[in-house]
Amino acid sequence: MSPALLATRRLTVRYGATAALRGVDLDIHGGEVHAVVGENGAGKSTLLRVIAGAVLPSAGVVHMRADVRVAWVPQETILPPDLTAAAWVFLGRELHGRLGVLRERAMQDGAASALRTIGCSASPNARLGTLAVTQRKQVQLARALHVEPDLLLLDEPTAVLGDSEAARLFAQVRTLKQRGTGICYVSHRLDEVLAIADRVTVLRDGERVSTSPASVVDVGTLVQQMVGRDVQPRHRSDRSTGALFLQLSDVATAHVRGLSLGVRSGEVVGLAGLVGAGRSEVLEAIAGLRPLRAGRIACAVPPVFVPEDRGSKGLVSTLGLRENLFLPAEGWFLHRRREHRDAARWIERLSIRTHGADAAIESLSGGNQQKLLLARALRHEPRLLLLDEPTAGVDVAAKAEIHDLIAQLAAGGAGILLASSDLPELLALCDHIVALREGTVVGTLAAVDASEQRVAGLITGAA
Amino acid sequence: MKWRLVPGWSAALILVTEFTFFALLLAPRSGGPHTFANAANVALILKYSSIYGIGAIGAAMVIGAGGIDLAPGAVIALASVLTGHLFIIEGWPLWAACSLGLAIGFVTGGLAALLIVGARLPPFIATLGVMGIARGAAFLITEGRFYDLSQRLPAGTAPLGLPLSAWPGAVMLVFAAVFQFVMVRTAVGRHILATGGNEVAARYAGVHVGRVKAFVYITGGALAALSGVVLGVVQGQGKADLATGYELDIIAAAVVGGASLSGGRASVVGAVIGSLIFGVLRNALAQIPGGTFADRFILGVAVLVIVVMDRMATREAT
Repeated sequence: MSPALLATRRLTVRYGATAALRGVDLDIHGGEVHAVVGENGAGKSTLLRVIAGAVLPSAGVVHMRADVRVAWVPQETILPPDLTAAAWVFLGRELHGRLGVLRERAMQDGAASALRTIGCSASPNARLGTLAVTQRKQVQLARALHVEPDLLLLDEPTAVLGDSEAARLFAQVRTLKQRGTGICYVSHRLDEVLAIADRVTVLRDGERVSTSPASVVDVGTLVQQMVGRDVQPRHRSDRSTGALFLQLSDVATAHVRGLSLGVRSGEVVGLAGLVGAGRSEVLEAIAGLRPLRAGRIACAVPPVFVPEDRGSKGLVSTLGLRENLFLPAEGWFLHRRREHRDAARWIERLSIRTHGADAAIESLSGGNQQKLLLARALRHEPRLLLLDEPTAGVDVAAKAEIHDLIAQLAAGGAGILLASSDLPELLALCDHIVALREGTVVGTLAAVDASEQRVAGLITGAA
Repeated sequence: MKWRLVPGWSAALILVTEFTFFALLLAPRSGGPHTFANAANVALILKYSSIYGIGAIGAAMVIGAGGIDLAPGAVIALASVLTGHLFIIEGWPLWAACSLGLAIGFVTGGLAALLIVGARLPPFIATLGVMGIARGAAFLITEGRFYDLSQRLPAGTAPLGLPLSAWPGAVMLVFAAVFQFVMVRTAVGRHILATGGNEVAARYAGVHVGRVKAFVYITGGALAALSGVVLGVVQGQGKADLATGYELDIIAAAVVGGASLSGGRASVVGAVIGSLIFGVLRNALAQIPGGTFADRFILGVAVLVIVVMDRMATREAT
C-alpha cells in the first residue's frame, strides 16, 4: 500500500457532554478502500466531517499533507433546489473567462460527462429540486468524482441508490482505487462493505474497536463488534392487539397524500421513509400541531408526541432537566420539592445518567437527553405514543434501553406509531411497517414479510 | 473560565460598586454635606429610575419570552397625556383619569399581541407599528398642548397616605415583587422562559405559546402605561413627545439585569436593578461639570459592554 494520505491520532470530538469520537486512530492509504462501520451514533459521520474539515476536533490530531484533494459526499441529499445539476458539479470551481463571466456551455458539457460516468440520467440543466433523491445522490457523486480527488469520503452513498446505480458506483470506486485514490467508505450495509473494502474499521460509541483486512472478517463478527455483545435476534413476544386507538383515513398534509393506517392497542406500527417523505408531518398532524389538508384522523385516546431532533424541537436548553421534564407545568404554582422527588424517580426508572435533577441539558449525553424527552412523554401515561426518530444519535446501550422501553409499553397495551430512518430498528420493533416515498404510501409490510432490503427498496423506489 | 451574569445578583454587584465609586468620586473636598450619598438624593434616584424600572419589568418578561417591545416610550407618553387630558380638560376625577390612562396600556399591549400572535408579524415590526400609533394618538389628544397635573393637585396630596413623590418608587418595588414571583414561582413564568428558550420545543411539549406571548405583551403595555400615569401625576409631565427613546433604556435595563436577547433568560429583579444602575449613572453625571453631555455616550458604551459580556457568556455555555 502507498504511504498514508491521512492519519488521525487520538481524535476526539465533543459536543457538550457527548463525545462523538473518543481517541480514534485511523489511517487511509492511497489505492485502498477503507470502510468504517458502526451503529447509528457510533461516530462514523463525525469522523468524515472532521476529515473533510467541517468540524474541528476537540482533541487529537489529523495528519494530512496540504496538497491532498479531498472530496466528501455527505449522507444528506438536501441540496439547494434552484441550482442546476451542472452548477452543483462545478460549485466553487466554476469555469469562467477573463472577466469572471461563466462559461455555461463548457460547464454543461463537463457536467453531462460526469453524470454519464456515474450513470445518472438527469440533464445537467435540471434543477436539483426537481430531481428524485437517487438522482440527487448521483449528482453529489458526480461532483466528487469530477474533482479528481486524492481522498474520497463517502457517507452511506448507497442508502438511496438502487442495485444498478450502486454497481455503477462501485465500478467507479474501483477505477479510482487503481488510480491511487484513497477511499473512506462509511456504510451500515455490511455485505456491500465486505465486497468493496480492503480494510474495515469498526466504531462503537465513538471508539475504534478494530481495524481488520476485509478478507478475515464476516458479517457476524462485524455486528458483534459494532454492538459489543452477542446479538440475539430480537423476537417480538406475541403481543395481543386490542382496540383501535388511532385511525388515519386518506390523510393529506403539506407533503403527504392519501395516507391511511391504523394503530391498535399493543401494536407498534412503523413509518419508514427518507428525509422529506413527510413522516414527521404526519405525526405532528396527529398530535394536533399541524393542520390537515384532507382526510380524517380519529384518536380513541389522546396521543402523546415525542418529536425528532431533540435539540431543536424537543428540549429547551435554557431550562434545566427538571424544568424540561415538567413542561408544561401543571396548575398555577410551581411545586419545587414535589418536582425534585418525581424527577428523581424518573431518572431512576429510565436510567438517566446525570449529576442531578437540575442538570443543564447540555451536560447530558444524547442518549440521556432522549430518555429525558421520553420521560416527559411517559409522565402522561400515554395509551397512544407517537415517536419520531427516538434513537437518533443515541449510544448503543441507551438505544437498547429505549428499545426495551418501547417493547414494554406495547406489551402494557399502549399503541405506538414509530417514524424512523433506522431500518434495523423498525424491523426489530414493529408489527407492521408503512413505507412512504415522496408523500405516498408505497407499501405496507407485516413484520414477518419485511426485510431491510424490501423496505429500503420501497422507500427509495429503486429496483 | 466560565462565568455569566447570574440574573439579578451580578447586576446588584455592579450597582453597589457603581454607587460606591461615585460616592467616593463626588465626596466633598472640605467637610460638608455629601451631594451624592445622602438620603434625599437616593430617593430622587429611586424616583427617576422608576420611570424606566416599571417598564423594564415588562421588558424583562417580553425578552424572556423571546420577543422585543419598542412601544413603551410611546405608551408612557400616551398614558400620561390621556390622564392629563381627562383630568384637566374633561374634569374627570383623578382616580378615573388614572384608570383610563392605565387601561390604554392594555389596549396597546393587546394590539401588539394581536399583530404578533394573530398576524404573525415579527415583534420588532409589530411593536414599531404600535409605537407609531401610540405616539400619534398622543399628539392627536394634546394637539400640541402640555398638561401639568402637578399644578392642579393640592399641595401635600398623599394618596393612601404615601406622599406623591414616593409613589413611583413604591409602584416599581411592589410590581417588581409581584412579577418576580410570577416568573420564578408560577407555571406562567416557566412557560414564558420555555417559550423564549425554544418556542418550537415549548409548543411541542404542550405550552400555549400564543397565550404566553399575549400575556407578556399585554402586561408590558399595561406596565408602560402605569409608568406614564405615574409620570404624569407625580412629575406633572403630560406632553406628547415625552419619553421619546425610553424603550431603548428600558430594554437596556432589562438586558443589564440578565435578560438575554436570544430569549429564555430574564430577571425582573435584575431589570429593576438595571434601571437603578442607569439612574445612579445619570444622577452622578449631572453632578459632574459637563457630565450631562457625556450622559448618552457613557450609557451607550455601558450597554454595549454588558451586552457583549452577555453574548460571550451565552456562547461559552453552549
